[in-house]
Amino acid sequence: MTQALSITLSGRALAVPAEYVREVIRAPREMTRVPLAAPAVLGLFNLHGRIVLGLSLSPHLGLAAAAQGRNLCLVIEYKEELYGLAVDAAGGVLSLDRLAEGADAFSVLDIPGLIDGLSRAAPEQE
Amino acid sequence: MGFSMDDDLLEDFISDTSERLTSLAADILRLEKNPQDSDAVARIFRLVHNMKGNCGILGLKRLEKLAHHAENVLGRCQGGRMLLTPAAVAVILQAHDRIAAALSALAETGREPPGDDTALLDALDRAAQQLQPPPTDTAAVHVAEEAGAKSLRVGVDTLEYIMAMLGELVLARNQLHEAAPKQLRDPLQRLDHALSRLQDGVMRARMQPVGGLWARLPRLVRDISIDLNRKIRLETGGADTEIDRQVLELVRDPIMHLVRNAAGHGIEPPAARVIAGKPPEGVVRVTAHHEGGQVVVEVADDGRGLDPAVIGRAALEKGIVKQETLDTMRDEDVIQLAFAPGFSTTQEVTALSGRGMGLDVVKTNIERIGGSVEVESQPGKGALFTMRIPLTLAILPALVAAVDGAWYAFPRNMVRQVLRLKKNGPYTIERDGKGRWLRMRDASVPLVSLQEVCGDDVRAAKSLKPYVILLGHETARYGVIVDDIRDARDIVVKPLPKALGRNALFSGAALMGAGRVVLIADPTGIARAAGLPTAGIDMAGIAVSEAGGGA
Repeated sequence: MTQALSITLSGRALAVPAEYVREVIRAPREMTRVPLAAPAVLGLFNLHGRIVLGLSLSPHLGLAAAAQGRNLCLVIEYKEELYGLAVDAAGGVLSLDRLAEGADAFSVLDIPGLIDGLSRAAPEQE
Repeated sequence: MGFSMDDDLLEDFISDTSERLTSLAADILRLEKNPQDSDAVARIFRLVHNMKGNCGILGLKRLEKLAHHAENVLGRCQGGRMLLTPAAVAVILQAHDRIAAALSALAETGREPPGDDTALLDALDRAAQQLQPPPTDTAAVHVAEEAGAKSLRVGVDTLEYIMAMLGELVLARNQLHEAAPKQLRDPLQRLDHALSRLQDGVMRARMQPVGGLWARLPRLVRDISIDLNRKIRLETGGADTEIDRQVLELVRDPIMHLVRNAAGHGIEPPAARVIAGKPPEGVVRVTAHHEGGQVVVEVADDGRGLDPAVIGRAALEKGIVKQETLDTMRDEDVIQLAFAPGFSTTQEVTALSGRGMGLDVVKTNIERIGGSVEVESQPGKGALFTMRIPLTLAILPALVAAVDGAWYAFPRNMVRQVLRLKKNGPYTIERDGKGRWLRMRDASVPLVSLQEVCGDDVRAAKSLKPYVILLGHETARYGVIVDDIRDARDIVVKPLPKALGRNALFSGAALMGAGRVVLIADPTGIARAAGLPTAGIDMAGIAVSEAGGGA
């Protein structure tokens, strides 16, 4: 059975496939801003000695940027790198199979699309 | 040269160095008793190497020179390749005393005392030439026989893991330094020593001889000689010179490109060579050796060489340089224009090009990893390309500076000097139609604002920027204005997340002691983003006052 973690963001409920999920932490107090990065990039922070790229999901989902910073950070791992997604809340574990049957009103976050789309959207340099 | 230097940086340097000089003397004496003590050699080398770097940053030319020549002697003895003779030890002790004396004068007056070190520098250079090879006595032979049993195959993954853990240790060490009470200073210093030796050890394990790359060259040269009807003899040297496997990977294409250039464009057809009074067979020579903590790769040919007139004309046509600038440039500088972006002479677009990069890409790729490349040439006699490459990329000596609350790390080998701006000081900032300039007594360099390059709002005159970091190589220098100098230390380089794409200004990131993430500035990228030339172009108005002896 494929599982997912439910998160909420500006009132929207989303599911993140469990294979990517590493941990949920309080939003880092400070991030190192990366000049010239895509709008979704919030910055870099340190988690257990690894460098994590903080991301906002708002551009990907077509939401307006959050008025205030979000409370939580969902840390995911994709292609051996860590990403921190800013979210309002993280909830329980869902069954993706049931989601596929349309039993719950969650939409599944497309992690490869999100991350790979980011590097494609990065400003072309040189 | 009477720069008034930054007091805090200078004081730190003096107290730090004086302290270490004491332990250095003990190590030198240990060496006198046992010239084979390679740990002592490594410790002394590291200290002298660091001192040289710091002197360069602080503009202490005399000390830098002394350290540089002493480092040369020690560098040849690293890893037990050569042994110090009693005479060499004596000269190094002399250099130590000279440095200690200059340092105490510096502490008193705040200025580097003048003095003539020619004799001592000559003695150091002589000593470097007169070292002894290690004895091949029974003991050494014995070790060699057992070598089969003494070496192991270790997976790259294992090495990477050890390297990563070492990185964590370095981080924790840095963190301790930030908050350590006085009574921890001694154990911390021992920790520093142990860590740097551990670092050396792991580095050595990651090393590969360049010979693996050399082995690919005969085929390359053979193909070119057949395609172009040339007679070419390839000579290689220094095949056992070792370099970090990651670095080796990154310099492979640039080196292959230079060899391809030398064979394809340098060497003339046999008939033309005979007319020019040369043997019909041309020679391409590729060598590598260690020098001052770097690997130097030389690609030489005895072909037609680079003609400054041809290069100057082509650069003019392509708008790379202005006539009035060109008129003032020396021939040696004109041929460096071949590295300028967009440059490629007409004969170069013929055969064999289209197979990769131009010289500008070679330069960019080498500088991206903190190296440099230069060319010397005599028309008709040949060309010599010299690449200086760092031994490793995993740990980078860096200068950390703050700009608007953000910290950035600058690779130390690109930092020429740190200047402090003071009221009525020796430097002034001037603004003209082309931007801002830092005017020094004998030169002026363009100034770059990191915020402007990053596309940030710059509120005018918001804060006083008291420091300028002078960056670049001998021919292309510029200054970056920063608020504060935080630290000069070794940082563990981590790549930027791939999702960021290739960033034009930053080459990586590193963790500081308190867990703060800092971006590592790419000085070449910043210069390019600021619209500055990156190959010594249009900067001939700048009288480069320092001899600047590499990293």
